[in-house]
Amino acid sequence: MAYIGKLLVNDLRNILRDKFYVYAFVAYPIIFVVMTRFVIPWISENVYYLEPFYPMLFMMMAIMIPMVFGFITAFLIMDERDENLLTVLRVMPISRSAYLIYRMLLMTLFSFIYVAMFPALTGLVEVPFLLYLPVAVLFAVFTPVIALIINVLASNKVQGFAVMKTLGGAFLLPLFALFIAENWKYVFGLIPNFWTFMALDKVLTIGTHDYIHLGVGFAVHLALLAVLFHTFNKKF
Amino acid sequence: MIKVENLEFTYPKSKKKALNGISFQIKEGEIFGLLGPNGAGKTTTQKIIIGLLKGYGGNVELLDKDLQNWKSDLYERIGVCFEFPNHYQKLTALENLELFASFYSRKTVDPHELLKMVDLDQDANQRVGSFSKGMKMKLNFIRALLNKPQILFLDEPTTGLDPVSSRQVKNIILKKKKEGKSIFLTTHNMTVADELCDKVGFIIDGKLNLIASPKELKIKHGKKLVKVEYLKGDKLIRDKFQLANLGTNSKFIKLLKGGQVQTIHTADATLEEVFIKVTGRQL
Repeated sequence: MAYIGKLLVNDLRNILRDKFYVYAFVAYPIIFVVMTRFVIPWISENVYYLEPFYPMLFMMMAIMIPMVFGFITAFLIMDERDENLLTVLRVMPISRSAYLIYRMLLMTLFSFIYVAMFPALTGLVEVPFLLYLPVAVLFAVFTPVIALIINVLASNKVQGFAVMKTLGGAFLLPLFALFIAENWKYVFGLIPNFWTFMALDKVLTIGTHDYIHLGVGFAVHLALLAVLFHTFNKKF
Repeated sequence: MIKVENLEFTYPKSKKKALNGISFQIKEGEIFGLLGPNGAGKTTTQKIIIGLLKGYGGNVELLDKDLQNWKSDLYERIGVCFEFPNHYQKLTALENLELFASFYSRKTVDPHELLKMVDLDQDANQRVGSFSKGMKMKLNFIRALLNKPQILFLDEPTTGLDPVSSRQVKNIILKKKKEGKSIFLTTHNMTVADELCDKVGFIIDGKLNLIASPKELKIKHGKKLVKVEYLKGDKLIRDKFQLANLGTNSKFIKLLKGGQVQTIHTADATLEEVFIKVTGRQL
């Protein structure tokens, strides 16, 4: 397992030596904070009163974090696909699956740290840290889902961008569930981050954990990850 | 070191066998070349032996152990050089080698030493993305040597290399053979095979038509003649003489004594001619 340290350095080098990744890795998170900390409150004060929508806006921005980190992970893997490095890794005395899982865990960790700090950074919602923590984990687990979906659906980086654009919109759809009081909102249940939004909504509105939404959320994410990982390994 | 018996393989959704009953052996300190045109089954054979394709028929034994019983520790002991270069483009040559070296639990060769072997030491700290194809190929080749492998699998190792680099790589391969390594080489370059291989196998449509040493094949399929070029005045004349009784052929001896001979060659067949003759196919 000594190679994990080398892999970490390798991944950071690959990210920091590519302007596109640096932009996604550093600039996007800053943009999100500027948007939520300054732009949205300014609009709310001067243009249109947005405060009732702050939880929704928070969720919208927060889900972008795993999407961005997932996108970077997807493209790092695509770099390896383009260079046939995934085949080279199969003739190395390490487990390729372990290698890919490490990569996804690393990016999930980045997502988690950022999502965990997001309420304090944005000031859009107030939520006790310990209550928020499991929801932040659920947000972060969306990172490998994005990475694998892009890799399974796209055969090159251009398609990767297209998939991301399409799915990016689709993953915001569960926000509408916040305006549906009835059980009808569960039609969005097939979209994994619907459960993340619901879990956060309960924490914000009731002030306690909602184990059903959290539990189903983790189950849906993990099941989806298992299917995607299996498909990925079969395909490459 | 490598024993392949009756190897068969059919790709999913294909009705035709990609490999049909292939058998061969490679001993210690031996270079075996699998020769054939594109799509003949060379890469499929290599992929099975290095454990990338499952669901094959027949037996494959590596280092005295059935391939099915090997786990990832097999890769501690073999080195694979693929046909096309595969590297982390944004990392330097040295960083690439150091990363791959970290995957092995056994002691690996110093990357600087490997880079020096192929004259890449000056470019060690250059990003691979800026390398020429030849430089990338050389880096590919030396990466396969990182773990001091007992068996080397080389797929077209000299493709894209200039004559000097090609010579360097061929010399390293011959050195590894001398050290007792077994080398499995797939190529459609007959000159490389002729120069390096102790034995070659001709593969066509998934079938191994023949296994023999290049020398034997060239003699067996050549004509028993000597071709001589000599000067008569300022005109270059070509003549042929039967090998049998050459020492008593008065015309030949007269030519030699006359001092006008420019070239003498036996009429061995080239490996390419043998391939065409044996398989009925062009490369």
